[in-house]
Amino acid sequence: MNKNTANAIALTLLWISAIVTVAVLGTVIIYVFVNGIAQLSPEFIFTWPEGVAAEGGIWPTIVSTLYVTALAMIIVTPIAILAAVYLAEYAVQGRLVSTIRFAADSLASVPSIVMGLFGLALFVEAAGIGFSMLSAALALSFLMLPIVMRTTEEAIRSVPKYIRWGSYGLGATKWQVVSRSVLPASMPRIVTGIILATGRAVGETAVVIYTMGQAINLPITPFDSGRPMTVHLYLLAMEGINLPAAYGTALLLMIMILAFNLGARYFLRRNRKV
Amino acid sequence: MSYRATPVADDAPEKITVKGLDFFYGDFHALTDISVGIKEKAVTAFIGPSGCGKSTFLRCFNRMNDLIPGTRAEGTITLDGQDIYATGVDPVDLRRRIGMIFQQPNPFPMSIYDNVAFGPRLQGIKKTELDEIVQTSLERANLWKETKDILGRNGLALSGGQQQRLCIARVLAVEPEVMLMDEPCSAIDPTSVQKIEDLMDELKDRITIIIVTHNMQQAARVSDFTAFFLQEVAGEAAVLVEYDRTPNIFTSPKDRRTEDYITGRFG
Repeated sequence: MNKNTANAIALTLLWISAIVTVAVLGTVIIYVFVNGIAQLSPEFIFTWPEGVAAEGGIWPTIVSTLYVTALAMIIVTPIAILAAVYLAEYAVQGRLVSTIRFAADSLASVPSIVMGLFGLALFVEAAGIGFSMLSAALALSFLMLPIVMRTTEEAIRSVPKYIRWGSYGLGATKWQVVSRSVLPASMPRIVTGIILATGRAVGETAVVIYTMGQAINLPITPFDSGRPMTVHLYLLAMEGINLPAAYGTALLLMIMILAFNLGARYFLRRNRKV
Repeated sequence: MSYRATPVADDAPEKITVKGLDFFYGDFHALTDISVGIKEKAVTAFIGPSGCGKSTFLRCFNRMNDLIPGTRAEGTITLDGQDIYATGVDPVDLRRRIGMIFQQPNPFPMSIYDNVAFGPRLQGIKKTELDEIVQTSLERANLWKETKDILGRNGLALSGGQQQRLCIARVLAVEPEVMLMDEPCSAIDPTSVQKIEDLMDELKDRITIIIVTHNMQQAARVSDFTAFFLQEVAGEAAVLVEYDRTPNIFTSPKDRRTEDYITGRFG
């Protein structure tokens, strides 16, 4: 086989792989879009489901999803950032820190249904919080914590030495260097990590199915139960209640997650520009 | 070569006195037995080939080396007669008195105003006084005219030379007594180099400047005193070969090694 033939074959294989990847993604998106777009309307978004066939809208499930996600984000952000600052800036680098890092990475790869079971046992049952926004948010925070912590740590580590030295050189204490120079400089990447983790939480099903309950409720306090969009989608589809509404919910979920990811990109870019 | 017009008086006081300084990076002995007196309100240049420890030595003056794990200094360095390595001396306070300019201009990723106000804010200076400090510092760094209408713009948007002057303004804002400059001109364009050299000449009326430079012409142009460092054998500690008034170093060096270096025989 001569060089040109090998080149042509390699190029063809690369092309096919690329096309397959794009085609799979495109098929999923188009399929959900085609089936769901007819459902999307202000009524679908802002009204309640009605009757046994869950006709009407999905408003309470949207609120439940946003509520639990926001709550989880509020719980995760300070803990993850403080832990990352400790690991990156203060801890003596050695076996203990490597172990913590390894544990965080492992935590990130625990199947979410296991996290859900754990949330059920610990928060819903043992702590007696019951099916609620708070139980679900705490369980979700276990999922988000390692993501935010590790991205924050990487962001902190990537702050160039000369920024730290500039700050020390002006008579800053260690904490002033961290809080006034290092954290602001790494903020775009930290926020990106938070947004990505939040996007993950919006789409999470296994954790919330165990911890939030399934009742269609408009949650007010953190102790109220509810039904998030993902669980609503699951029930509508699996029990054949209302397939069109399931597609509508799916499409809306995809749009929300896409918005999160685009938001993260926008934020990173805007801050990279000077 | 041109030299500074008005020589510093022989009896000018020493701002910093170094006696028998040895410096180690872990097991590596970087500097040995350095003794030197830095005159107040003068410009002192440290010259020598790459890796001769002149930047390491410079960082001893504001204890920046403390930030590098495993380093240690032996011997004494006094600032106005007070040992800066004595127990009880807070390096944070020391660094307020001894500012530092780095090779790579390093403005913080924030506005020009916030960059200059950074140091004063660390010390809790009141908001009402900041405007004046920012303006004065930028004026002293010869950057006010260029930036007075764009104080809110990110410091990183400035040109390299402007960034370096911004860093100088940032240091001046904390009113240091000494300014350490670690090859401040090696990463910027020639026009900006000229501005920074002029600036050093203006600043030395009020502060003591120590500059590390690779560029011998620059050392000759800007400094009153020059110290020549050399690591004679790779892997062994560097020594201070010769220290004298700058014109003497460049026209009648006493040490053969200094002469070889300034005439370009090595380095």
